Amino acid sequence: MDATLADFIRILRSAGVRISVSETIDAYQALREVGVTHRPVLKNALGMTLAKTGEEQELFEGCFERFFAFQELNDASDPEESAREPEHGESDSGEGQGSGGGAGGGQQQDGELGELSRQLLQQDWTQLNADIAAAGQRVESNRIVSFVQRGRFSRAMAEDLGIRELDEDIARLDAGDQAARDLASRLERHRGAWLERIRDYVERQIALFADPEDQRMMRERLPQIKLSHVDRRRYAEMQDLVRRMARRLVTLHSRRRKTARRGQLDFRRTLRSGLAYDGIPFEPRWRRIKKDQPRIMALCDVSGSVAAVSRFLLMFLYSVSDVLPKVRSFAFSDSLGEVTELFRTLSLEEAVATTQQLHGDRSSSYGRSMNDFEDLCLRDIDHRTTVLVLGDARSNYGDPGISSLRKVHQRARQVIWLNPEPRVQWGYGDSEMPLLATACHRVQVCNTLKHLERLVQDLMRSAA
Amino acid sequence: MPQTQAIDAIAQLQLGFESGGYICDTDIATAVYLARELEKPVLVEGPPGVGKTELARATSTLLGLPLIRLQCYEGLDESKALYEWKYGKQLLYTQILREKLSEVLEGTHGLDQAMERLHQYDDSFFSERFLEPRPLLRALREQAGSVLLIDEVDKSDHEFEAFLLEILSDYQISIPEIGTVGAVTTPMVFLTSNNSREIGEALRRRCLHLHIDFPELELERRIVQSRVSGISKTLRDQLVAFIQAVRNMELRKVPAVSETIDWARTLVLLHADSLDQALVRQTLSVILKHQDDISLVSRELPKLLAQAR
Repeated sequence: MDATLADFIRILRSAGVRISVSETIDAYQALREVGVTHRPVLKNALGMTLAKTGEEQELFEGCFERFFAFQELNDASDPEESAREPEHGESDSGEGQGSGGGAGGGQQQDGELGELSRQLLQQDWTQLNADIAAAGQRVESNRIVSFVQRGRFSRAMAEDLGIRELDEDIARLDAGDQAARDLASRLERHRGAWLERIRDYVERQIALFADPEDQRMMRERLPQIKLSHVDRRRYAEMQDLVRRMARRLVTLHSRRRKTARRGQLDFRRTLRSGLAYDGIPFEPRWRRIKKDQPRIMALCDVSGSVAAVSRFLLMFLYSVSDVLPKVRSFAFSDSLGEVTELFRTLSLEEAVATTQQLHGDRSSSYGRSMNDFEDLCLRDIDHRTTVLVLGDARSNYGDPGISSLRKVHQRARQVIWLNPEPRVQWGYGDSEMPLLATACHRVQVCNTLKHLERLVQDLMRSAA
Repeated sequence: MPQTQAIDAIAQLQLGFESGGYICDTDIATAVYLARELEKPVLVEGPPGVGKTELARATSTLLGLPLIRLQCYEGLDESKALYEWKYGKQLLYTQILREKLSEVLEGTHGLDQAMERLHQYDDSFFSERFLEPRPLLRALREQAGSVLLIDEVDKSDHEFEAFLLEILSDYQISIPEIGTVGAVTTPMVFLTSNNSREIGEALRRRCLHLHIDFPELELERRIVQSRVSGISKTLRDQLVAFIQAVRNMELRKVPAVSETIDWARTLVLLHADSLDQALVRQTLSVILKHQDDISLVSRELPKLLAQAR
């Protein structure tokens, strides 16, 4: 059972549940306490020790059902087998009696047969299944990572169980007399069924281990794929990923929310607390740094080329609203509009979709959009404001809006330009990046989730 | 076989809770059982009003251990949770003992000797006598063990959460002036959270995790039956069905189990035998606490009542 639990924990991990070593130990102890006899209790006990959030609990439920259903399947297939067996069994026992009563030679041959052949002839499927499972553990079939390894693992298992001897037995019997040949053909038939069993076993191992593994690999790779190349079908997964990354950042940074001690005496508060002790400054109070919450204004180009990146930038910014509450967002293509309200009222996905509908799919005009932005909220920009502009800076040979951006640059704490194009393409064709960069504090490439994560992390750090 | 014993013990616990008036699923009983056997704290999560706090109370009644409760809030710190020096008493004692000072210092020559003499009495002012134990310390010092309830841990600050880690993993705390205080008997610890803030990984790792959701129809019926004496069967069934239907609506705050019980008590007081529109309309404020919700539900009232019947 210990090995089984280890397998189960590995599956949970690859499904995305975070399990530490101490939790593993807890799970083992819990298992030792309650045993495996009572399934609901087992499930509760493991769930309590391994899955520690609501989301993880859901993952756990799924994994538990899949994993332990399979274990049960093994047991359940036996009665079914025994129901089918009688015809076999009868003919077998008939023959068995015949050979027992008549030819001693048959039994002698039986004696010469290998262990596996004998079990096959006796149709001892319980034992055979158990052996298959044991062989599966010996060849480490739980390390299977892809369906292409199916053949390799089935072969390894069959060899481990002694298919060679079986084949030798069959060949030897086939060369013998009539009775022996009958035996051989029967063995041949059982051999087929037996191989089928092994293949089934491997299939199930794939379903259990390889598929989650595949998903895990995908999850690890997704953040590095260029957002504009990500398949639309993967958006749900990406959103999930954004949520996870955001949550991690939030837990990381909300920890520093409290103001830090600076080692300067706060005279007024110390005196006041000292009043209780006869005016003796018993408890010194320290001055604390008052921390600014940064105000973020995000301008997102939602014209075709940059839309995908904008989508995820907005998603990211709003997923961390616990830590960065003051985000105003604007979408632009040929003109600019504020979309903050959309994100406040609608769900994230709906808001993104609506934004795309309202402002998207027109060729971008930076001059006009920047003008709009200046009119709309130059007044609101102060030394605490960080302005993010996400766009490819391709103005279709029109006005790049540099004068407006300069004004913003002068007032804001920082202006960060995010460009989804690689650095080498800046300045070629209608790209105005080099010019616009003169009115920015920082310009960086941003086209994968990793880039976005790093950006948001920087923003939070400046907040702390 | 010890494992079947475990299953029995869990069933026993469940029965025990039930006789104490706390009706629960097996998962809750399993959590309590495991928490005792593995000596681990339990982190109880779930929507407000499903009986998270009540679980700790029921456990303390069942085990016959005192319940020590620590309500968390923003700004809660060690001096309120763990211990505090009784400054007032210390000051008072120094005042009173001023007269004794000359006696103590009698026969000493020079400052050094006097200091030396005084040092012998150093510890008397930072001894347990002047220590005001707060809930956490009290729980550790309880001879026969105790049930410690750390309520709404999500309301506390991050610092406090980190500070809890030592207690929860080793059942000990350090007081600089005295030393490390270990638990006499390991207390049973429940932490509850409404998830108003994400709780740290480290804390989660040290706890067993128990999620309590709103009870199913049948379970809630049994809860009402056990908590409200003298309720008729028709009223009980209708009432629970009504509540369950209301919970499925888009409300600002869905009625909790405690509110179901309150409502049932109200209706029993009004000598109602079954639900009717006028009655429900009058008493709706017992289960719904926002005007928006009340108006929303009263608009749907005929449909909901028809469903409940």
